[in-house]
Amino acid sequence: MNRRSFLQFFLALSISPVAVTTVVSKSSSNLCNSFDGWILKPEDFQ
Amino acid sequence: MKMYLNEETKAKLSDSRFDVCIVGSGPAGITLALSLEKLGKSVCLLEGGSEDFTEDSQALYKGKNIGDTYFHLDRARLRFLGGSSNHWTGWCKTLDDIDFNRNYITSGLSWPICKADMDPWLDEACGILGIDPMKADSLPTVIGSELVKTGLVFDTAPLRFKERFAAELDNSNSVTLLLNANFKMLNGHDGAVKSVSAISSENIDVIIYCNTVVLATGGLENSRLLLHVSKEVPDKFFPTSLPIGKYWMEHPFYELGTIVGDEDVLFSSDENMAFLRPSDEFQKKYKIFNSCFILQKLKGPEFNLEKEVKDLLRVAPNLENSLFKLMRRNKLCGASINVVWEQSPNVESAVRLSDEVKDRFGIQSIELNWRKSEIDRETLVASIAALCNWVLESTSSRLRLQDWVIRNDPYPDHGHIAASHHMGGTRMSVDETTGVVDAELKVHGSKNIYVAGSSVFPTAGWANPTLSIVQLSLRLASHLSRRSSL
Repeated sequence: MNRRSFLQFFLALSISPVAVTTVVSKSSSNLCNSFDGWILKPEDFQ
Repeated sequence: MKMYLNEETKAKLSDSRFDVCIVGSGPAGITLALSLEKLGKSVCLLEGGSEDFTEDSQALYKGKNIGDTYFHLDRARLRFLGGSSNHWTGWCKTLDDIDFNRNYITSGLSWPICKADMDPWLDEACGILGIDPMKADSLPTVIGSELVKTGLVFDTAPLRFKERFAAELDNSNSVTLLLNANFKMLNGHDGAVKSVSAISSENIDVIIYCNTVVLATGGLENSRLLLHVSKEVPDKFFPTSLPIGKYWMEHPFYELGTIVGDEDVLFSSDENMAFLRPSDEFQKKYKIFNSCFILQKLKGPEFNLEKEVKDLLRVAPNLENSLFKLMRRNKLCGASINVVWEQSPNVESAVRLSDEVKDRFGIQSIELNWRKSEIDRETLVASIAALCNWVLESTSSRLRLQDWVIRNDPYPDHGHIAASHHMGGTRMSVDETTGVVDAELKVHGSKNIYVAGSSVFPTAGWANPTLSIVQLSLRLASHLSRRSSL
């Protein structure tokens, strides 16, 4: 994967990663720090 | 009949000649032997161990891991009558259609046979294993554009080949089960084996004369013994250039995290486990291999559902209503997520012979260089993406992944690691550059050396291999019974 992160690969798949897109745009920290590992939809927390 | 190799039985065997000599009495060897008996052939079935586990026999499986973190090589398999069926879990599933053809990734990965070539032996194989063929070969249920629910036989007591077939072997007039008979060498010339040398733990030698030999010693030893023969008598039976030991595969098997949500959506009624895999279309779209997520309901003191829900609501407060509704209906559940997946065949992932260590019979020990590659990680991550997408879009459930997954860290070196499925090393292929045996499981270039077992798998699918091993053994028996030289 050429050292691409899980999130980058997830995004590259273009399979409606709404939660991940939101997380990446909202925070420069990784998903684990932001959401303690939970994979969420934006409406789950907005 | 059953006998141990000693001076008395050695004398009895000196005048015997068998249609087939099978080396190894695990699921592949026993299936093949009893099937050949029904087809009117005489068989000598060699087992290096005894009827029961012994430390001395098991020690012959010692080897060294020089690749990715892996189990001790004398623990992931068993060396006595019945082989590793003496400790397997009994899970069974046919390979998927797509497993036979990976040309959408790159050429040269596909099987030289297809699923339809193995289907004629499905019912008989399931009969041997005592499982329902409809369940073992069930079609997947589409649950989204990217994910399907797949069937798996996991709730049947695992068949112990020793317990099930020991008496049948002993009572057979056509099968001679020779215990305490450790493979030593093939004898013959010009690609044709005339006999097999074996040796007892007391160093009593015997020569078994046969028209055909089949190595059925498991997914590591098949490579080891062929490498041994190739080194001791180069080019005598097959070209030394064959990629013996290479393209060795496991099923990587890791815990991924947990899921909290709707029991009715995640699980079928009354079942505590669910099996999900990426759809064929998804695998082709992203050029990945197969995988399977194993969801298992978490209950009891080891899992605190209330704490898990509180953790979820802390970061996702808007889920409170939906989770509360599930709780009122008593349908809120937690489940663990494990994943098992298919490796890309990798020439660097290989069984080879140690330059330093030999066993007590002078055969070099194994050095296993098991390697997972970048495409294996891509298969994992893309498959997780499909799972996440399905959970988010189609369910009121939410999942939580472990740090190593989220951070794309190296694989954990603890936990399951792998499924103890030893595959490849003598892979099936059309030509001798990419494999060791042909579509009929005959070693390329040889006249009468065959290989049975999961070492012949060109690719691994995600499914537990035993059912496919038994199907291939029955298919091999059918092929051998039609050979005029037998």
